[in-house]
Amino acid sequence: MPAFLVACLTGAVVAWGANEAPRSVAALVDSGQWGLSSNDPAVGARKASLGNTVKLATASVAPENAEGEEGAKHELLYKVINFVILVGALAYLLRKPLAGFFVQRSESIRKSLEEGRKALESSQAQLRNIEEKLRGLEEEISRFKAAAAREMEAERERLRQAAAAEAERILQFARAEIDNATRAAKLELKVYAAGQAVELAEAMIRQRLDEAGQRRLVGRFVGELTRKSS
Amino acid sequence: MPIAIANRYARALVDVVSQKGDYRQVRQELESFAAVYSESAELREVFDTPALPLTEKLKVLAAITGKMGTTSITTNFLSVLGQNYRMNLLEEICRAFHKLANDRLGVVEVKVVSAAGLSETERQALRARFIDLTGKEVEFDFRLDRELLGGVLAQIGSTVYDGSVRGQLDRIRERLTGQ
Repeated sequence: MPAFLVACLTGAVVAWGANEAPRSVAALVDSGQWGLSSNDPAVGARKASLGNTVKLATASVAPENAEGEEGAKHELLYKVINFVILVGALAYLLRKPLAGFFVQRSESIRKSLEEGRKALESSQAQLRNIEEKLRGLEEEISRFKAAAAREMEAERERLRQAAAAEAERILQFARAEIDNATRAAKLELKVYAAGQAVELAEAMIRQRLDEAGQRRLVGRFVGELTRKSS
Repeated sequence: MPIAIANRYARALVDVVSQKGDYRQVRQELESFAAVYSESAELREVFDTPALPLTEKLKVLAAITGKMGTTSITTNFLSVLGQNYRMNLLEEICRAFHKLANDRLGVVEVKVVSAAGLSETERQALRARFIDLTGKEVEFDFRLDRELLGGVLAQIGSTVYDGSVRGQLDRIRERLTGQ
């Protein structure tokens, strides 16, 4: 298609300056070098129509140089006609392909716009989701901070209670140790005092116990046995 | 183990004496021979050595018992001990025989320890009180111990009757110390 358009434009332009050019264009159309296949019946009809149009155009501009001022006006008219014909031909030939192209292009743009809109919506949804998550994250961080603060306070209280309990235990242990040491010292002192008292008593008995005292002790023992046996 | 063996021999001797002998006499003869045996190293060597023939040992034993005038029961029992190489258990056998004989006779042995010697009147009084207390015949074993300071301590089996000054002082010491 582009080669055909170029050829048309080239043929038209050349026809304005040379008499041989219309024939060259007609020959080009006849020879099938327009890029159209001669096997296609529709194309063949179009090719014949275009050839006739070109031939008429070239015939109408042939006496250009011989006419002068009048010829210049005719030349302008021919150019306009030529241009109108060219535009009409092009419009006729390119109407369907261009319509399809523009429909396709418009569909593509519409799809792109739709995809863009969907992408935008998706991005906005993601943005909303992220913003939601960020808001949730902030709340989570706040909750975490509050929980951490509560745990720290509880741990501080537990440590304080443990320290107090340990201090109380140490105090009780120290009191028990002191009590034990006091009791042991008292007992030791009591044993020592008792020992001293008994030793003193023993010494006095050794000095004072005589034969009569021995007899009295034996008699008392016999008396105790008598009480036990009765 | 030696005590079990000694008890077995003592029980056999008690059985023999119960049929035709006198417990006190046999006991006295055994204790006398045991004292001689424990004091004489030569005599112990004679009965302990396996180098000396049994007949020679029995001849020595017969000579000693003959001089001591022991009864046939005691002499035969000592011969059996010599034959079985059990003469070294003689002291344990004497103690076991004493106890078994007292059981057979219904006699209670009372160990009496005093700080000073007891008069006969005091001993009789103690005997009368312990007979009343146990309901059996009593046999005293009197001993002296100056550490008692004064008074008397008597023991029957595992029961102790403490009337000594030492015991009273110990009890006072225990009360003072709160033990």
